[in-house]
Amino acid sequence: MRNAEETEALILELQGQKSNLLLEAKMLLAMDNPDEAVERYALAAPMEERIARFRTRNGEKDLAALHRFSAAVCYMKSGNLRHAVKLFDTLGRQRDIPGKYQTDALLLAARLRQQQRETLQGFGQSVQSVA
Amino acid sequence: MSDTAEKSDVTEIPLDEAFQYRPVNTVIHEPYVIARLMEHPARVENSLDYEVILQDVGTPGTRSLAVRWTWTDKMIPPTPLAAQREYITESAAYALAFAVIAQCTQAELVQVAERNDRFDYILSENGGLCGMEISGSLTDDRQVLRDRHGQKIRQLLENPMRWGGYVAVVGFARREMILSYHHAKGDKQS
Repeated sequence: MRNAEETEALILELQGQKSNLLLEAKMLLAMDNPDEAVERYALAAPMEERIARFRTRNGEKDLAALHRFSAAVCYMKSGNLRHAVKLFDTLGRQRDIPGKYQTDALLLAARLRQQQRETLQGFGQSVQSVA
Repeated sequence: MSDTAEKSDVTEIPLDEAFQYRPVNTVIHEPYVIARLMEHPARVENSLDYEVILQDVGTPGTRSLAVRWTWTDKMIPPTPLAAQREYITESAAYALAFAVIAQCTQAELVQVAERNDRFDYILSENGGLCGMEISGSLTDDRQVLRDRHGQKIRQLLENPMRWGGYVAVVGFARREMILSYHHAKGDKQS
């Protein structure tokens, strides 16, 4: 099982890898290449989640929140809104993490839910216009 | 750039040796900083002089360092960089800040994390973690740079993790960088 094999050294290696993906994503966006940037975010998101789980198991709640928040933003930027909302909700419910993560998570979860509703309504209108 | 820097005490920082590949690859910023430095009319071949103002970095107080950035022909981007101008300025500021941090501190960039509209840059120093805020500007106005520095200090100290850390502001037109260290809110040393 992956969890049993996690070590600080492995997690530090993972931190470097996902950091490079995030820097590349930002550079790709600046170079007007959003499709490639989305791919980088999609790769970085599960890495951030894995690091967050490791930090949670180590009792490092603040660091876990930092990575969980980053994971949620990466899912959001890669288009996986459902998973992003789930992680933001988790952070929004936590009372023992830095307050700014909690409030930002609540705000972003609400904004993404609104976006999901608008997208769904947009699909409905598209189907009607085709019919 | 002010005239206070002694030309005989110039610290040369070769940019081809200033960046790291691990744990975070800062070499990604290299072409952008070279492009930005090469634009300056005071450039002499592959070098450009800057004044670096260090505030509470290593030792308490403010000191000024005359720095000469140098680079090799191989580092010069062969074609104009197809990136937004703001990104080139920001990326170049990160490059110069990392170079000075490597030269003047024990800190090392260990990771970046997403905060939606920006990144958290996380450094490791003396067994602890700290943050970093960096900004670059093309303005020639000294006060604008000072104001930007103050804004970045506030931003650093409002980070969710309540870390202290470094703030760097680079004025590309003025050839000036301010690098300062700030203790976390509530820290006895602050």
